[in-house]
Amino acid sequence: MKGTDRGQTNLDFALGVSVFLLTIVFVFSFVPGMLEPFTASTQQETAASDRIADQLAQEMLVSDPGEPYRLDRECTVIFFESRQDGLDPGGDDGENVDDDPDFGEPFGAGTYSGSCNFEDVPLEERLGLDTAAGTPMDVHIRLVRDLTTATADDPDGDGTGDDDKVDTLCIDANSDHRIVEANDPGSGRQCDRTGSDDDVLFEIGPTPPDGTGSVVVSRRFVHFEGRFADGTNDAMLVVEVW
Amino acid sequence: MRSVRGQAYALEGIIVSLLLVGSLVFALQVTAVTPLSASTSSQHIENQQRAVAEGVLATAVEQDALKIAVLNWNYDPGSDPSRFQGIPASAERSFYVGGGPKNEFGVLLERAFSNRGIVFNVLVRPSVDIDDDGDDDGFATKAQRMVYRGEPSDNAVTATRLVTLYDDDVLYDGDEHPTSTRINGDNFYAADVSDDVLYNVVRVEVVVWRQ
Repeated sequence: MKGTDRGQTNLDFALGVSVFLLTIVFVFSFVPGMLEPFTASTQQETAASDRIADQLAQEMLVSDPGEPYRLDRECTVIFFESRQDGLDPGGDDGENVDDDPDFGEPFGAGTYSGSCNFEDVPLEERLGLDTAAGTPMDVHIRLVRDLTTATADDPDGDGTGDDDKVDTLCIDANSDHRIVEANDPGSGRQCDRTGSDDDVLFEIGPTPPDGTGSVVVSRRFVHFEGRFADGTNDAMLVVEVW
Repeated sequence: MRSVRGQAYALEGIIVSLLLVGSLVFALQVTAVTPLSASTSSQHIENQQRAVAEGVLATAVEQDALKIAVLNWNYDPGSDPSRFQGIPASAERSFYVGGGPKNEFGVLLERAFSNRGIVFNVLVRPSVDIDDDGDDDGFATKAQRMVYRGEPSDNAVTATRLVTLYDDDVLYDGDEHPTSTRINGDNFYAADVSDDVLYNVVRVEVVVWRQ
């Protein structure tokens, strides 16, 4: 009797090998997904974005930390005046609606006599962002809203009228310091940051990238001291970190 | 000499597969999925929704819109059911279902949530005086609905705010003007729980979730 015959049919072999191959394929495609929590993710940006939004809406921009989400008008204008973009920092003397001590252009002509809850330092330092080498984070902050009257929504009269689109807000310092939608700011427009108009756009920080990486967005619903040009005073604070 | 062809039995193949999958499951214990891992409803999204709801309530309180919304009750002594202002009697319910309330509070809620696919319920939960001793005993288990847009999902978040009502507070009409009707146990959904000037302390709960 030959000892060379194993008691096995073709079907038995096919079953065993296919089960084995299926498992091999499954395991090899699953393992890379298992390592995903240990790769670089947006956890840092998520935590930073949330922290910055909370910090702004509850401490830095408010007049009284006991009343969170209520933004002090002057300090908010001062916060969004950036001295790094080459434009003249706007005046804010007309923003004192709550009778706290006046701030005479603290970030412009020099003497900072006010008491906003942040320092006269660049934006990243104000927010405690790590700008050192390694993985520097960028932040872009703005106040947006869709205002409800045509003069506030479309101050330049471009013909879009009172649309339902949300836009960044802008303080039109040379027209009674009214707050309107920015509506494509530029020279000669109602929202004009250049020249002697001293308008302040409620937007600060570099523009977020379009396609690369992921941008983490945090939002807060805040309201202003005083009113906007349409009589309301609530806005959405949008913080983007990448 | 024996020559054995290297072919596997089915049983051998199955055992090897079990061994592979078993070691994979063992290795899975090492990995970590945190609340911030990317998903459609991560902790980050819930945090944002809760913060926006808190902001809406803070804004409503500052504009006095929240108290007006709580008192915006249409007590109809006829045969129609009592309901919030702006709801037709034929609807046979006391709360809004198509959006925010028909007052400034509703405008704020819709501005914050409606165009981002986020849905909200609003409940008003009065205090109760269970043992009738003139002091309140906590909040009722059954709340008065102000807005009901459906059963909240598993990832819903809540923000709350307390509103204090006094004995001389009045109901408000459909244009958010005060009427001359003082609130009492008959014409309002909350009862008087205190023997002094305080009428009731209600808790306004805003439940927010993503559709």
